[in-house]
Amino acid sequence: MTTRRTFLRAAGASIALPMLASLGAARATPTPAKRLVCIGAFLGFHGPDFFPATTGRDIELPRILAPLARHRSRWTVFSGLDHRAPHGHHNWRNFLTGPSVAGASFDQLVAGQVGDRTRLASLQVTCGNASDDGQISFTPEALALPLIGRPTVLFETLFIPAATRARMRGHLASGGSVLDQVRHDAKRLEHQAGAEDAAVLDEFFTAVRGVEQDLQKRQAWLDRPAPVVDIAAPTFDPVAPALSLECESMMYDLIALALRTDTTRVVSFLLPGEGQVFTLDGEPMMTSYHGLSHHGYDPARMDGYARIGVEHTRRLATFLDALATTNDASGQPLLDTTVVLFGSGMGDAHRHANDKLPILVAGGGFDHGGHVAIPRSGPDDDAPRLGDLFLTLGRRLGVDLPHFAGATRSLDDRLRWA
Amino acid sequence: MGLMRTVLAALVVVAAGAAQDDERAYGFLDEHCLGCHSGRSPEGALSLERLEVEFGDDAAAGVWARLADRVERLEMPPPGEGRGPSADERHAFVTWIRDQLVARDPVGGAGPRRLARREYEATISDLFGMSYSLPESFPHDHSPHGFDNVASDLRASFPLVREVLEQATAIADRLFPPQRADVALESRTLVVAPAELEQPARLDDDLGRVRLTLFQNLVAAACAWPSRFDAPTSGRYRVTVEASAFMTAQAHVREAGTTRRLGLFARPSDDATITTLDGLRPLAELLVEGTDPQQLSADVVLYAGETVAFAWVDSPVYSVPGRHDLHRDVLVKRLEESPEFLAAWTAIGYEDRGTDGNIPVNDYYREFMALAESLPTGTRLQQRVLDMARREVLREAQGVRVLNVMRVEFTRFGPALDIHGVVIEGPLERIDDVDVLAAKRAAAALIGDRTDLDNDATLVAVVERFLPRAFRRPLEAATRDEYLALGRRAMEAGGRLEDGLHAVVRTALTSPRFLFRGLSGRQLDEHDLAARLSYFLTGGPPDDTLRSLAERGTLRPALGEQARRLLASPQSARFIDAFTAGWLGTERLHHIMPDGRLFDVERRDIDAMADEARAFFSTVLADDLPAITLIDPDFTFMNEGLARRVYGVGGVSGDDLQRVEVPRGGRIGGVLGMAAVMMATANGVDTQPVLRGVWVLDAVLGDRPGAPPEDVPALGSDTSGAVDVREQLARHRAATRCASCHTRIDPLGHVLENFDPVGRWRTHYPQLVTLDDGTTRVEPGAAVVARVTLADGTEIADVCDLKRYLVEHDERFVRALTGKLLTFATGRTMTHGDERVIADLVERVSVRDGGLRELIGEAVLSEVFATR
Repeated sequence: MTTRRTFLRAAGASIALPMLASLGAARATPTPAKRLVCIGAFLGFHGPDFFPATTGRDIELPRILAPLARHRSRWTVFSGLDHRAPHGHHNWRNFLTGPSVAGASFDQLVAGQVGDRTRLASLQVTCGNASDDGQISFTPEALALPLIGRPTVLFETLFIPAATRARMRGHLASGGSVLDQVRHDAKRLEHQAGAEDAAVLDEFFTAVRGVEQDLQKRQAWLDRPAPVVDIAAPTFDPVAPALSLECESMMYDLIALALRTDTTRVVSFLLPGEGQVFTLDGEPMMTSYHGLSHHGYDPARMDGYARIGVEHTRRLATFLDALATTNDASGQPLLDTTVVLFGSGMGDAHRHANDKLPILVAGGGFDHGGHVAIPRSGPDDDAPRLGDLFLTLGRRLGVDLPHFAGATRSLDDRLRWA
Repeated sequence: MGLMRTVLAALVVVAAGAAQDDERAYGFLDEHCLGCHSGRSPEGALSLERLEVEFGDDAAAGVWARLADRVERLEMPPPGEGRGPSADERHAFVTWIRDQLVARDPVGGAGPRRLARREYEATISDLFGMSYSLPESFPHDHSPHGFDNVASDLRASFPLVREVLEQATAIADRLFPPQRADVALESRTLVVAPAELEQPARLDDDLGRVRLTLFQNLVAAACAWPSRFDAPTSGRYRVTVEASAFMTAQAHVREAGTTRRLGLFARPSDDATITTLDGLRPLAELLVEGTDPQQLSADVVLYAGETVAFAWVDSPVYSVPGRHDLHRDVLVKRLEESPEFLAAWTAIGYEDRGTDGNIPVNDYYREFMALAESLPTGTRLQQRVLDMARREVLREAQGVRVLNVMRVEFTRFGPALDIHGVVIEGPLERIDDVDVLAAKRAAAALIGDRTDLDNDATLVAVVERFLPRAFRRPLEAATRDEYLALGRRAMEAGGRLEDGLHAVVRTALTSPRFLFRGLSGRQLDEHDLAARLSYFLTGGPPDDTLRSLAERGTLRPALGEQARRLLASPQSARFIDAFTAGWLGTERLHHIMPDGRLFDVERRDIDAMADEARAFFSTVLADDLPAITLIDPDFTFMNEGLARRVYGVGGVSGDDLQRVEVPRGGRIGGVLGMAAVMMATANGVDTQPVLRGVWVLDAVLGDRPGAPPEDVPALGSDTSGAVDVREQLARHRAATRCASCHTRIDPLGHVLENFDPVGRWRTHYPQLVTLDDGTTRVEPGAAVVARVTLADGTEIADVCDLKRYLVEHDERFVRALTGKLLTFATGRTMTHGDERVIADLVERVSVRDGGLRELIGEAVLSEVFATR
């Protein structure tokens, strides 16, 4: 069995980047960050192995952060942040939305402002088949966006095969005539209708206009030359839950590729966790990932749980490598203009507690380093929230949010621009 | 005073002689209300003195409506305070108010309704005769009114219409897929070594083979599969397995023989949610004979994305519902055979290990054997322990542990079935997916008989046949021509008939004519009536019978009869599902996670709760029992889990729901105290009397309290005891602004406090005590006090008393239920005009002692039903 996941690494060098190169002159410094990648691990991390014992820049890296040592000047880890959200596994999905899922998630707020600069306004990714709970990004209407879990599907979404492209173009073009007839139908109904109908039809007309503009936008993007990637699509999707770490590596590679080709600037990535039993270094683990996360303070289980955390950060480090070694159009490393948010909506998986979330920010041109601890006096105290960090990240991305789900203060003083 | 009287007389438009009625009504106010509801600080912060009597104003109309309700229910003037009005006076006053309200708020008043999610799915399935479900990305309908199909909640926003177009395109693509060049079939051969077979329950990795032991319904426990394979295309594949029987010399092992049946199942490779074997598609069985490795092959059909799972299907140890659990026999035999095994088992069986079922099997076994060696054997004590052990083994709760122990035993000593390697070759031949096949059939049915028809004639035929069904009414000539033109253009551009049909289907499924119903105006025409009846009672579009009745213009008088026909059809299950989900709130059950420390309730029990609600409602309907049976029946439905873990009733066994007779007027039976309802009105941790009270008031008594004012803090949740909740609420009621609603709500919640958050009966609140070692224990806390005084002054001791009260006032319940049925049917909240029609209708049916089916039959004939 050849190692199918090496295909992308080998291919990385042979990508032509017409999109990035055509971005035009670099803006005057300081260049705000242009891209956002939000990564959330469904089963969280073992806290004692994630949070450094001390604060400040000079910290000893705990086990789960150790794989990120080579990037330590490029990230900051936060403790004490959360959304003041209720506990429970189902509430994981508020990771990017605040105390509840009442509207758009952070990534979608950003995509709403920067999304029209790329063919895909945003991208939602996971490994394999995300179950019902697998939700991370939400539209302003609080609808969960579907996640792509197969590398081949993500690949085809990014680099549309010629046949699909022709078909899409056809559908987009004929979509106009569909909407013409639909509008016509509605107009005829309007003639017969009373006042109660008129309001409903009015709303429908407005919606149809919106869909029309959406089609035109998509068509315009489709007509632009596609990024030339001289690589073949993956031939195998490691979508079995037991292979999700392997899938994670492939997905990181493809996300890096999506950013390098400027196909999208906003990505959210849900790292799934179910009942799969991982095999690490040739040894099957003692029990399932989910079983380990409910460790019951058993040392062997806590150890196993932390080991999987290390597997996640090892892959994150490789992803950061890819971003740090490629330059964007203005000659800056991609990582310096990409905000990477890494963490979980789960603070303590053993108890299904959603407070004190593990949060790490990398890249994005911040003056990084070390551990920022937010002192907490109680679960409902007045300390800054995760939403405040989102405000700071948003500003760096040129997206000025006045507030985020009850958070109004920002963490600008804790995470300064470089 | 005088001025007000003048205003009243001037503004209210009533029939001749009405001025006299006004005078009398105002006299009633004067005499019975203004004493308290006037002055600087009127009672309940409600001054009737300055009441704007213009019924055209929503706020004032609301006050009048409440006045009528409360006077009618004897809640006002407060019982026991001086001489109240006579029954005649009350009636005249209430009737007068209602007349004014009905005049300003007549029957009907909603706009057209968009198809709700569930209706959309049923419509597509029925239109094309293929199963269809919407993807998650399709907007979910919000249902603040309890039901998911209320017109005003079904907006046609940009994201919705965008998704409608996407889905219309996807459906058209499924029916008429693009022409693809034939790709040569590329068959590959994949050799899978044992180490590459995933087996979550694997115990020993040094065997060099995969050892299958127990056959359980759990996929993870019973199966092994190659996780690095999934069928690249749907097709026929050849699976070759090298396998052998494994056994040692022990007696029970020898009994198993050396013939083994190896089952092959199709398993979606990326699936993490199918946990039981019932969810897998059986592919083939291979017979393994003897202990020598042998190669066996089977040709199987795999759909794209599937892998092959292997299981030893006739293992002597299995645990499959409906089949005898042989593991008990084997274990007892083993216990008798090996004293060490017995002693260790017993020691562990009695050790308190909590409820964690995730104890790693290998660790467990090591611990088990260590204990075995340390225990004395061959004593009299042992004989006693033997008996105890047998009992222990037979206890269901020990099942998982027994199976884990047996898995270790079987892995070491047999019997087992070994797999030494797997080869998968294929696809040998391409085979259509179930979905693709269904779509091909649907497309063929849509196109119909093409004998003697060229492409254009076929297009004409399809347009004329399909559009009336898609739009649920006869086709206007202009629309027909436009769709034909559209289809012809696409056919010309693409060169195939299918391109034309694709365009027609895609456009029709995006059109407001498809997406909305009730477009014929305020008074529904025959076609809209057909759709209304059909979506009401079957959740889907009208069938041929309804359509032809509507076309002949003879449906209206036949609505009652048609309703009975639809209720008897299998599609009525969709009505029962959706109506009970909205009325009883059972759709919330999926979102509630009962606190495992407090409640021993399993997910399947919660599913059984929803099933109970459906089966119960469905029986009342099928047997045409009086509607009040829903409150006070002499039967309900339970399965063993529900009976044992929730209702505390014996004599029910098995997973299947069965009818259980209960005494009338008791705790069990009816929607009050029904586990599904009690759970849906709590949060899985503690009860919230206000929420339950609101539910009873709305769903059972037809009185929907308004939303609380925004500046009121919510009550904190309470786990420590009822005393606080009661006190908090008592204080709440003392605040006059809150009192008018909470005197109606709270008693109805408190009287149900005997039902805990999962519907079990309780006399004391639980108290979670944390012990020194960090573990928790549940102890009885404060006593539950269920006795309450209703807003009309009636003393109610408990839920049984409340049922009696409702049976006595059954008209109120039946009206409430009819209102809910008609809200569900018409997609709007009931107006004052509607309420009056309902009151008359209920009276007619109750005079005849009619049942629930008759009530529905009568309701669909009413003006309420026929009005948008």
